Amino acid sequence: MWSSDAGEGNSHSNSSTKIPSSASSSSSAILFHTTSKRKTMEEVWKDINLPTLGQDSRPSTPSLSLEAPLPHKATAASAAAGRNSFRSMILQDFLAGAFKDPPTSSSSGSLPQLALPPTVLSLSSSGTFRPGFDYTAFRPGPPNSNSDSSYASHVAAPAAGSGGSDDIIVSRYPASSDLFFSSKKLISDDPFCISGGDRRYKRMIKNRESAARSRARKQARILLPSLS
Amino acid sequence: MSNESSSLISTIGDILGPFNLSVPLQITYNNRPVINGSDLRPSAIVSRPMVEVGGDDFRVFYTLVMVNLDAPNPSNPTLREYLHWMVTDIPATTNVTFGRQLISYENPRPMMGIHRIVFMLFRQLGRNTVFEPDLRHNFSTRNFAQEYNLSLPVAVVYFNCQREAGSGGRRFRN
Repeated sequence: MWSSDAGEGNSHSNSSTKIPSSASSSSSAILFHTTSKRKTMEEVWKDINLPTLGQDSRPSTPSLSLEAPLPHKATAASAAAGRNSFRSMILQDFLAGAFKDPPTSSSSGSLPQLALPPTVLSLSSSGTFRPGFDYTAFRPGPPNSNSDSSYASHVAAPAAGSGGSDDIIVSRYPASSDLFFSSKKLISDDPFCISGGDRRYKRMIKNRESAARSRARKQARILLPSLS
Repeated sequence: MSNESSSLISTIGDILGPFNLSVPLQITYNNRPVINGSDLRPSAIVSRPMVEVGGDDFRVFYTLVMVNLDAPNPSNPTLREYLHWMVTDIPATTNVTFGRQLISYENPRPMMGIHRIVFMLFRQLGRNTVFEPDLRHNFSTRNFAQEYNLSLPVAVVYFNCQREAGSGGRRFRN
């Protein structure tokens, strides 16, 4: 399904025309339905993207970054996750990030411009973790402070060009990575994790006993066929 | 009969000990006799059942005991066994209405899980030799029988009971 989309998407046409193209060439109705759902979300996302960026966010080249700073990273992400799922991740992650970092950041005018590429990039990095990236560097501190300082420091980054792309990734990453790391922290550092294993063990024992009772009832039923 | 004994032993024998099944016993709720292992909901067992006892000599007296083996929860039966009903001095070949009620009938209302409700009939050594226990919960039929020289149960009937809206247990007729 995704491959067929990629095949049709390689034409450098506007994303809004993707749906008709896929619809015309879709062989199976099922595929069309699923891709159309994805397209709808993508379309909405693109509608949000396009006015703010003023660019065609259509990932004709594998890089989805609107500023075109990190084609290689986006390439890896899109290649790995597939374009459509990549976009959905973008939207969800962006929303998750939006909750963590209120839009009233330091950079007001350029915020939308900054918001999109970082989220795009952060999603790509969240999709495929770059081994060289030091995640731990951004663990401490609330995401707000990190992002604010990062946003402030990187207001001029996009204007600077590709040099700021790395910084953008770095700056935006804590927001989404925090989401991920916080969940990881719960799993690994939570003291309840230890008793969680006990609870799981007890639950398993109780399940087995219940199964044994059920088998006993079944055996009784077979030995004494009931008339009811 | 051997089939019945083996199935009884497998399902309730571990708690209620060995049996000496020798006397016919019929429990009837709403004109329907209870079959071992059948499923009855609380609505069907609201009132005490009719209990008919076999035998041949009405100078022989029996005690009927009704217990719940899985109170309050089969996974955690902290109240096992819960005494629902006890009638003594039932003459053979008659029914429970001829006996003397020691513990009044309390209709079972399980909240969680599928509970095993068991009727047992014990042969008394003589009339007026069995006395009521203090508590309903944590009752031990084995110890009670030993205390009053009742020997092994001469008849057993049991059914499964779960809450009215419960969906546990078998779904289709095998």
